[in-house]
Amino acid sequence: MKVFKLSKLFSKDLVLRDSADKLFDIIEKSPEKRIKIDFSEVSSMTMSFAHEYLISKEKTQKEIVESNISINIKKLFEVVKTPARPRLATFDSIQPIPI
Amino acid sequence: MVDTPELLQSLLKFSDYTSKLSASENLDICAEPTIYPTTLLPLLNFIEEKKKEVKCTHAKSTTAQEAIARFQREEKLELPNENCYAVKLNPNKEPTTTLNTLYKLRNDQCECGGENAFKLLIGELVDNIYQHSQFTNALIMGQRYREKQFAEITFFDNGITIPGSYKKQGLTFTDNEAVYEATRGLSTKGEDRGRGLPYTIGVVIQGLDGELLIASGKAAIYQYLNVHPIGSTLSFEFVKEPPFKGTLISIRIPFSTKTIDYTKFV
Repeated sequence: MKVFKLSKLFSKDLVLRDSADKLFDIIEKSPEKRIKIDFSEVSSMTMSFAHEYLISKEKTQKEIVESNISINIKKLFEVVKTPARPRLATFDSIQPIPI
Repeated sequence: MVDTPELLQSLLKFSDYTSKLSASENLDICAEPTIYPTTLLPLLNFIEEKKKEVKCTHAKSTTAQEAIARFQREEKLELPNENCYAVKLNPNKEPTTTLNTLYKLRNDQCECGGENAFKLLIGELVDNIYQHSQFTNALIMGQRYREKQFAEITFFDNGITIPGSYKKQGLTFTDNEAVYEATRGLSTKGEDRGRGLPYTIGVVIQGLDGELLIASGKAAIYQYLNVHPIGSTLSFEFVKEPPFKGTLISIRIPFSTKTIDYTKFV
């Protein structure tokens, strides 16, 4: 089984949606059918990365096994899976700025 | 008529500087006791594009002049004594190592909601810049103000703007409508996308009791927490021309904010 350690491949802080795309590009090119994604040392992840990761994981034909996911990251994945709540802040009239 | 929020005043100061620079080859910042990132980042972009110069002879402001000169030459700027951290984003490079400089803004006095909330907040806004703006120049600066007990973080890019991004996808809004829709999560890239900006706003306003300004095109939207539990929005429009080409997002977070559970605001 091929192992990809995210903190080595990218960083301890996973930021860009495109990085999740890149990860799965690499995975798809791998001849191995079973892939292990190692989350050790990952300290933070954006919702954008998490969202793209989940979409790509759903699409791939490879068997993905995840390891060493921290509670924080698990919680974030759960949150990203839930539908977004509409945010409706109050809105006042537009003030013109004469410049 | 409402009072002009201080974050917007800082942006208006930038417009004032550019007017002065249009009539002169250089700008003297001696008289300024404080130049906030909201003023400084679009100004840096302006002087780089127009090849202008910022000068100063006043002893106290010499530091600011030196910092500006250094940040023009280097990809990142760390001034721990000045409580200032700034980075440039490279459109062709992953920003992860660069952002480590910015994460240093958080310390024991300025928790900014804790490490996870802070990194997510920075990360979401940076990803937005990479995803949507098509920038050639993008700058982020964070500064702690001990006496005033807040940190200000500004994200600036010279890209296609929020209204421009919607227009590219065939969605025609006024500039104010476009920025407002972005704050509500309308994505140009599919129904299940667009959560980064509303999330950031939720964390800043509800979680950190902070305030936020978004300026893009002719629109400027200011969000803050008041009696309304999810915050209020003040909307402004630059009547003549946009103050700059691109998008600016500035946030202010009080020092007193402790670690929060950021998942509550998604």
